[in-house]
Amino acid sequence: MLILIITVFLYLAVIGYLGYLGYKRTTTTQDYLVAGRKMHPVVMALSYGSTFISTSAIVGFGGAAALFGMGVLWLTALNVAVGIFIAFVVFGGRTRRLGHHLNAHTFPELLGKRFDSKFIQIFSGLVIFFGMPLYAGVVLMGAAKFVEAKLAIPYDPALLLYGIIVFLYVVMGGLKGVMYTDAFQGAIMLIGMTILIVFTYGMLGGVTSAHEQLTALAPEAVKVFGPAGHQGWTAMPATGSQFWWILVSTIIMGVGIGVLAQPQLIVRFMTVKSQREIYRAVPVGGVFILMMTGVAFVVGALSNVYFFNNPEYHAISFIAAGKEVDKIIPLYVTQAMPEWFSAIFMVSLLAAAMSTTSSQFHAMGAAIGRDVYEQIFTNVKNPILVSRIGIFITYVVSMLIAWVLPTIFGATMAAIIASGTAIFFGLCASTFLPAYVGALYSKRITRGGVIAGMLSGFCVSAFWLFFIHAKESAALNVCQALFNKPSLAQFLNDAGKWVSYKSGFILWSDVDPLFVALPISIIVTLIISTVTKPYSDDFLKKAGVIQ
Amino acid sequence: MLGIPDPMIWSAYLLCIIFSIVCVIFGILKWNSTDDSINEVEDRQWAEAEDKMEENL
Repeated sequence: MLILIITVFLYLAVIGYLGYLGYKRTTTTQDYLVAGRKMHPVVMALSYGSTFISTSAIVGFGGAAALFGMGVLWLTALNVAVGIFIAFVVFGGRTRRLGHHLNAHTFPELLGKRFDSKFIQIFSGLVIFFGMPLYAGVVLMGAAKFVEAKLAIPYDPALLLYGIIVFLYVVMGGLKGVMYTDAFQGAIMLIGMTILIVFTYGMLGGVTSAHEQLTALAPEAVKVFGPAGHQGWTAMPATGSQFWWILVSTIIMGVGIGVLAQPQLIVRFMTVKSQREIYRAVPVGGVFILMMTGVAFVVGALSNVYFFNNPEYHAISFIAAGKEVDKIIPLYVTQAMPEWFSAIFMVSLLAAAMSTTSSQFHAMGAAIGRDVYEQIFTNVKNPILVSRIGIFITYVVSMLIAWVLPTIFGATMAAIIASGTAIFFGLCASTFLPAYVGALYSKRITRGGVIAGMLSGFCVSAFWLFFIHAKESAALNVCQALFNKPSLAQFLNDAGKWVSYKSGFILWSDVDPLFVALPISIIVTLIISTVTKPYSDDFLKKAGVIQ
Repeated sequence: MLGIPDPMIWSAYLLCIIFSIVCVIFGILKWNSTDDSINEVEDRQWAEAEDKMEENL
């Protein structure tokens, strides 16, 4: 316990010192504004990485890997290829140029100014303000789950404790987005995850031996999850099965593609000085994401071997953690790792949660203040107050979400943190991605096309969540109240169980909203753009789209 | 391969590592690519506006 307290205290002291340094520099010299952004690419990449990777990725998706197996590694592959390479190399530079040219400082503002539409800016701001608390909530939940396991206290006080630390951090200047603080947090996370993978493989006799032991456990997986399509942790679930649809459509595609349209990540590109700095950040970003998600997923899957071989449990991770997927990683780290490491790991998670939540609250505060309030009321009296009240409201809502989610979804949804993250990522992709790509790359996408695409993407996602995708619709109860069934895509079978309608290998009630909403949003954007008047060359020149 | 029988899994395992290596090689090759910094005036304007927004938050 003493080690834990000292480690956490030391960590908070360094964060406080770095925050003070950043504060001092911003107030002492005007030129810092420009010069300060000539950040070392390593700092930029670590900062981006620590914002991208949160407790959700480590605890939530690590737990999902303990359930679904190493197939989740496809998400790591996408995270590196799409979340880093495509995001940095393809979108990063153009975003930076357009953002500067249009003098845009938030993602909704970028879209609004590019398409000359207040509606686009306000609507995007509202989607972020109302949607992001779900993501912030599961990030808080991931951290609280670890505190719960480590300190052996109930979840509610654990959440409160973590919530207060994050709140103090945000209030005391975490929102300033000091990149050095983020980078320090990224470095801590990197050290923590490196030790974790080395210990885990070492404990299980090396890479190949560990995987072989996991492969040998396949019958245990089939015994518990066989009917849902599980075929072992070193095999993909049976194609078209319930597990396959959750793994592929929600966990891999939802998050893998959704990352491209994450508002709090997109704004990071605007703070970079030049395209070259973005290129230089790619190597660190790629390795960082591999070491975060890759390690969490491999360790999550291998935790099954540890718990099964441990006479105290002699069960797979899911059973050992009391059927709480989000508790698997915390339980594994506190049980299998040395005492001193769990203190470091707790600090790593604190770092992961703080760096992500601070940028989330920043995005939500800016959304409600700059993108909604200032756009609706032209004669702005007190924008600072609105942003601050907005941040406070989203903080309270995020805490409430983190508090009630385990109760509402506990029985129906196995991986709450991963699912909550996937919902938000999918919603962002369906609503924003066609508009974002159009903004950067197309002269022909029109204001009408973007508005229609955004509205259709958002509405189809919401409809699918409330009425079709059974994991959420069953828990949200709206479909039950209106249509007397948990999902419109399910029927009562002879055994009295609700099952999904099936067309070929498509299990409709398990298809992720993204799979339907994103294609519809793309098609609507394209069709409406072709039938509406294109922007004039003058406008496009002014907007910085053509030279 | 690597104690993993399903090619869909070991290929994901290897791809993660390969993509990361590609990122590293790309970064090294582009280390000295043209510096297309935004012009100083635009950059300063943007930075000042950004700072004002940060203050509001």
